[in-house]
Amino acid sequence: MTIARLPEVQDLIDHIGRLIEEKKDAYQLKSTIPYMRLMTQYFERAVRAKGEGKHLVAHTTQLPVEIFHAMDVVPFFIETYCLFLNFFEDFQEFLGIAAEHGIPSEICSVHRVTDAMVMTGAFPQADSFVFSNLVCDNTPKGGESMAELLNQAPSYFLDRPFKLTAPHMAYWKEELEGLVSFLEEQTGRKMDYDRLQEMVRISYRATELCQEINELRKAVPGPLPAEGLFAQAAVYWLLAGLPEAVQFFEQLRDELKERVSQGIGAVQKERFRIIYPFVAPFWDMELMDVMEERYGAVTVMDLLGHWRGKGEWLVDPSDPLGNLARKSSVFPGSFHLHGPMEEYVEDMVRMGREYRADGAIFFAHIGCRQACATIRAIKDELQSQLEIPMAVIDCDLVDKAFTSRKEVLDKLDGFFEMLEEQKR
Amino acid sequence: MTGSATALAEWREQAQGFPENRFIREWKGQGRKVIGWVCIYVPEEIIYAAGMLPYRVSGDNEELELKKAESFLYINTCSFARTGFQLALEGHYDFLDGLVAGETCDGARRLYDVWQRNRPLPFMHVYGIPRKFIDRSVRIYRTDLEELKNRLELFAGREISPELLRQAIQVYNRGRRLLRALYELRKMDPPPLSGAEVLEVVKAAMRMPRDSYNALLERLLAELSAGNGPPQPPSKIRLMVLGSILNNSHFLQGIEEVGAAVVTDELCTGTRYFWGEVDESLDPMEALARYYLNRPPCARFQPNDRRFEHIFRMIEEFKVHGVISEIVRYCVPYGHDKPFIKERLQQRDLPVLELDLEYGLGHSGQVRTRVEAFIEMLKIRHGIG
Ligand code: SF4
Repeated sequence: MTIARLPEVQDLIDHIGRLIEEKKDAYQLKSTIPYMRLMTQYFERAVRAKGEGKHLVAHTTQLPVEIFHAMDVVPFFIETYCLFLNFFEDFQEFLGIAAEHGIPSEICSVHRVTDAMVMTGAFPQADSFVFSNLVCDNTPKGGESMAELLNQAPSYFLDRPFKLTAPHMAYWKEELEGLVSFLEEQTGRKMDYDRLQEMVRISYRATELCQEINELRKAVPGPLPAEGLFAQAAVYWLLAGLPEAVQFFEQLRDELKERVSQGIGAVQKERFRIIYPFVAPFWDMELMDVMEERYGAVTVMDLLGHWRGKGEWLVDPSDPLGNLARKSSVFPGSFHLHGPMEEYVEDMVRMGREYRADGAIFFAHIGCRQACATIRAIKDELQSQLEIPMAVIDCDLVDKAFTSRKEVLDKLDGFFEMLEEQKR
Repeated sequence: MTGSATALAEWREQAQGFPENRFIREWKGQGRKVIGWVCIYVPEEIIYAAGMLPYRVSGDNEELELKKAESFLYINTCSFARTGFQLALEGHYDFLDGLVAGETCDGARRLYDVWQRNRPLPFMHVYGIPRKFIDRSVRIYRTDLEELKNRLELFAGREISPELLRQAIQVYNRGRRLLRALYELRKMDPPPLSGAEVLEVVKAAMRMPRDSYNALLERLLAELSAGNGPPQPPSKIRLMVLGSILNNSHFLQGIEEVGAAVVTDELCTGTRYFWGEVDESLDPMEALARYYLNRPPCARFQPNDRRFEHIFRMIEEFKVHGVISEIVRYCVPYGHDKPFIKERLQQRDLPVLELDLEYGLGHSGQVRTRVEAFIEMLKIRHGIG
């Protein structure tokens, strides 16, 4: 197989830089450019880490990154990198490499791609590697594969329990303590618990701001345009615990507040309020813009932004690891996908109700078994409790060849026509 | 070998019927309860000690039409989980009074979830299974087993005393020793029983009262040890099968018909189900937690080295010529391990045939052609005519 030059982290940085230049006057939100700059800085830090003698930790999804920041190591969130790069690149080469390596095509494409990225050195060689069982079988197994492919970089596996009663929480906290010990061993430095405590406090402040933002998103018309949807999740995923995350969320909150007070919506005439009980159309994010323009459909909430209850997780400020353990029980995605189905279903009904949704779209990523197995239950409950219809769009999150935009739009046309009918 | 193989005939006769068999009917006829279990990290001993019959939920010797299940479980749920639910929806599992599932993988836990939502049984219970083997994992696993025990006690209306647990452990350990003895016989050349027959024997352990099972297995072993088993063709290629759950013995029969003997496995319907023994000198709940979490692991555990160690031990002990590495489509835990197993086997110069299957697949022309070519290659390699 001849391989064209494969994209790397620097390419992503360049892509984002170009996008800022091209679109700086086109964005609705003032916070979009700062968000993109934050992302650029994050990936730049990873590129520079080696040269600056910093310890680079590659890690998988849904981990308490506050621990990495407090240990002063440079984290590199693999799946988020994969998602970002996929906004700009087609991954067929990576998928081909994974297939050649013998990884079955039924494995989630994100994990096939990240395996291939590791094999081809598409991101910097990490000094250590941290992975967990959040939120599906693919993460621990893909993590294990990557650990092996990463030339045996020392790795630590975090085992997040399925249920979160008191003894399970204690187990999870011990797992986090294990992570701290691992990082101490790898870096030769001790954790500064005062610093961690402060970062946990900052992270909690960011959570509170996310709640405020989510409250504002309940307004009619919905104030957050598609361009801000992923920003909210990505900033928290990558920068939880850092003051710049708080600054970003404050800016976004203030901006949305202003829009709500002036009655400015994401689209001029909001016709439909849409929720995503799973993820956004990551393989073709422009679809959300198209939905705004074509149908007046605003995505008012999605799973990745939806915390459990009021998102409260800071109980005892002097116990940072205990708090971080608790965070996992309310964190978007973690509790939905790594816990009993009924809790997920209930939360989606709550989402539908609180955000006054007209419809739901479930982007059924073929590689995600535990999410897709909930489709029927979520669809039934949204319909029976709230009369919210749900469209199911078969797709693959990062394999652009899986479905065409036309196919998706044909389905969406039908769905929105049906919603229109219902409104009459 | 020309014996009468009466025990085997008796075996076939007794174990007939799926999912419901004569043992289930007798058991239920006595007003006793049957509890279905999903995944081998549910200790049968606890259910048995509660006076209830543990019964493993699975499919059997047939690939089913899964349309009904698919209206609840999306197509990317492994076909094992869809098969279990299809059977439930068709009423074949109506004899169950309860269901206990370990959250081993996404497929298993969603099978439990949709079952609970759409066809709840009087007793439903799911719990987490740690993915590590360290001390604290055993501790939390034990905590979950204690909760299972408490809930079963309430449901059964009787205490599951340490004494009852000890007795159940003894009965199950006896079964494990007998199965181990059966596998020991497979080290012979040719083995006295085909791989397909052995799979039937192992499956029966999960579907009938263990004391009756032990008695039957003892008779079968005595017969086989005395050389009175069914006649077996002479020396053949010795294969091992590993990977996702496999219940259809016709699949193994198909392999064996083209000139190989399946002599061992790394399956949760084989060695991983019964290997090792529960330590009878320990507190019974502690012993169960330690045994179940530490036996030859499923692919979902970390690190996978332990799984690989078991595979290589089997290969050596059973003098395996080649390996069939199968995965059920959409089985993520085993799918991820596949390339690493292949690599390790190739490093040891052990040929491997990789098969991606739908759960329940029996004879299939396409698979047969690939198996034939694989066995031909092995025959040439080992000079076996
Ligand atoms: S281990 Fe594989 S075959 Fe078994 S239930 Fe899980 S996904 Fe399905």
